[in-house]
Amino acid sequence: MNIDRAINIEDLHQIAKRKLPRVIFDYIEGGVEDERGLARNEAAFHKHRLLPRYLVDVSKRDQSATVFGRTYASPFGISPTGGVGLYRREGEVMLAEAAAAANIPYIMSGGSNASMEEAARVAPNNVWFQLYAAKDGNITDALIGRARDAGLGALVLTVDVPVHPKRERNLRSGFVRVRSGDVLESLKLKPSILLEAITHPAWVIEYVRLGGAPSLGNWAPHAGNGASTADVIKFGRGQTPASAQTWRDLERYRRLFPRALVVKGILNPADAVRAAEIGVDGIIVSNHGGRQLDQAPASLDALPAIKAAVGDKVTVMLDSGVRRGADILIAFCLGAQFVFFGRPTLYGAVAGGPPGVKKVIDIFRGEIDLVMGQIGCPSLDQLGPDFLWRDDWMQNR
Amino acid sequence: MRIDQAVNIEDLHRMAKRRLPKIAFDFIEGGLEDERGLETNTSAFHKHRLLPRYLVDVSNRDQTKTIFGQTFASPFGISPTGGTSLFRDGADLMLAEAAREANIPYIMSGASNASIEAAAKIAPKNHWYQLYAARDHAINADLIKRTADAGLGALVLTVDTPVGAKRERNIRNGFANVRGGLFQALSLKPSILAEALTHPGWIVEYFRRGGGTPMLQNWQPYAPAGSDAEAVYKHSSSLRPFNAQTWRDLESYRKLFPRALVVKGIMSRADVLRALDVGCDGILVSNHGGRQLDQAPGSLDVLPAIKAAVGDKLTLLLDSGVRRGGDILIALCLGADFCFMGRPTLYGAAAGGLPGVKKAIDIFVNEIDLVMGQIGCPSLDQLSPDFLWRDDWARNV
Repeated sequence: MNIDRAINIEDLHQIAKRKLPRVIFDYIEGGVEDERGLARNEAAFHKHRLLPRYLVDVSKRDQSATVFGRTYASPFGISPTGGVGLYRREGEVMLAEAAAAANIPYIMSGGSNASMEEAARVAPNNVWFQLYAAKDGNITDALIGRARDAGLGALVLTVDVPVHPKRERNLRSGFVRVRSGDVLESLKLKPSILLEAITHPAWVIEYVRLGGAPSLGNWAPHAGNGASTADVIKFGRGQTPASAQTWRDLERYRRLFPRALVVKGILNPADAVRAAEIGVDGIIVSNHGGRQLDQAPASLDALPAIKAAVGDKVTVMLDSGVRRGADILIAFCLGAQFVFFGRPTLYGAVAGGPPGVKKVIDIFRGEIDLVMGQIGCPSLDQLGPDFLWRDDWMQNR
Repeated sequence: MRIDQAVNIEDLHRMAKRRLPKIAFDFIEGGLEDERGLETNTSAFHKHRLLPRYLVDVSNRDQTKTIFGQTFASPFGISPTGGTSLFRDGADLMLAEAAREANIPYIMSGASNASIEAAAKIAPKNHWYQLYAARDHAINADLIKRTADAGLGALVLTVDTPVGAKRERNIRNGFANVRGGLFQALSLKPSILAEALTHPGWIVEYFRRGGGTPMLQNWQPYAPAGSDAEAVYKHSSSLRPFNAQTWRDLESYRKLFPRALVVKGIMSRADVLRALDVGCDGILVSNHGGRQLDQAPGSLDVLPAIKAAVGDKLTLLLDSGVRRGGDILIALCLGADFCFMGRPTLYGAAAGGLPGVKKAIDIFVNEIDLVMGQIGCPSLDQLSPDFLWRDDWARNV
């Protein structure tokens, strides 16, 4: 299938799957342990039904949404996904450019291959930076300083990686070798994995031509002069996860970053309240796309209690499991003020480069527009629990 | 796959399945009747979700746990599993050795092939004995005395085998013939024998051991002098199950055993309270891995009511369905002090002998360590129902 003919995210998912060696695709696709969390995330949306209202004038539908004082053209943005350059060279720059063109936010991953400065150059008003804190607090502070100096609109601290998770697909495939930054390491993969990879020659040729995995652009300046790609990757891996990080550190980040500070990965209402007390501007309710704790609740399930706990004191956003425009509207009904997704735009980037990313954004935008019309909701501020069906209404009374 | 490539218990399970003839593997694997209980047990854990707390310093994580005055390195131990030499010659002592190395408790089965005294020599501090009472009180008194004299930390009375269970796989396979001598084993159905021949590693071990059923060394002293393994097995099974055993008998065991007395297999609150009255030290909440009553509830499901009934007056242990480190943490949140598992270490023993058992233990240790880090719980005494998600929180509020 050509990306022009893709009609939904699943189509792009299938195209992307064909383009990548399994060892690479599995890294995008996988969860942790038994991967129950992946199905749980999507099922959380499918549990909900939207209850339409008709005979409402929906000839004009406005899906713009404002967060942190800035109005975006749609109520969604691109979640941070690490190492995009490994799937598609210059992938992060593509995401940033597509976000700028569509006027939506793009959260650059702390584990990205391009640097935040490069992204800020192509999309000065649309890039946010996601921070994986370093074990060395001075490096963390320097990263925050760079995000501030690059003029990025928001700093997003990911808190749900206190330990490296047990992603069993990667353990089995030997993915870490592919990402080591040394092309010769990849040759130590199991023969069956190498053979499968060779059936994706375009990717393999590009990988070998460019000397293996790309560097980590945000970590490179801190890894010392003359550090090779492999050195930078080893350095970045060695500095994370910052398992000793606590709320005291968040207080410091708050003092260091003058614009919107967002905490990503919160599932516990008590944590949300604590973040609000520290003065963060927003939280992203997230279980990291089911990639950190297989026993975690779905972020959509966690949303109502978190919204009830913090009310309007912080901007409540969400990711994990969003695959349709309607998913975004359901999250809004339950209290979300903005929604993110990570895998869909990666599928787009892999499947078709910049036009693929644009296609993904267009698909979501088109689906949101139609469902808003279908349920009789011409603007997002009208969304609320009243648009959601409740299962107990089915009971005979 | 090699043992060192196994990333989870399911890998060891598959390796054990390949190595063993179906007739032997089915004995490990089977439940009874329709085997609904097997699914009841594992799904009892999957119903729960863990609610993480972040920005907690988890750089040092402590999974040690103290029960009956002894500190173990992890909050789990090895449940009793009978007749293990049929799956791996010498498995009982491998389990004991691996338990000592990992500093966790090993409960020797009343139907073990090695003796109490042999395991006590290998693992003097990590060895408990599980009693299947005989119809002859003198034998019970002697087994208890031997347990006490060998210095074992706990005696575990299994009460959930008042009758033999209808394990349909064993009936169909003719497993009872394996309990006879070599010639009786040769009278198995040709299809069963032919399938067994496709597992040459096991066949070689079977003949090297001399064929036939392995000796029940604990019961050997009570059989007529000069009895061979088949005769000892027949003698032992003529004395069991002790279906006339009552609480009065438990009282007598209590008087005979000076250290921790644990009752295994209790599922009802009333029985737990009665065990407390008798002066037991602990209860192992268990449905015998789904092998005794297909209609039994999951042991995890009955745990909260039992915890509510006895509070801290008894040490609460649990087995049946534990396959992931996260399962153990969930049980601890619901009030268990300690968990046990039987099949996982047996898979390890069957798949790879002592290194296989060690691998199974390592997998649990590592999974517990990562999930403790991931949920923000650096020490086990912090676990409580607060770490468990409640489904009603997902309700639209």
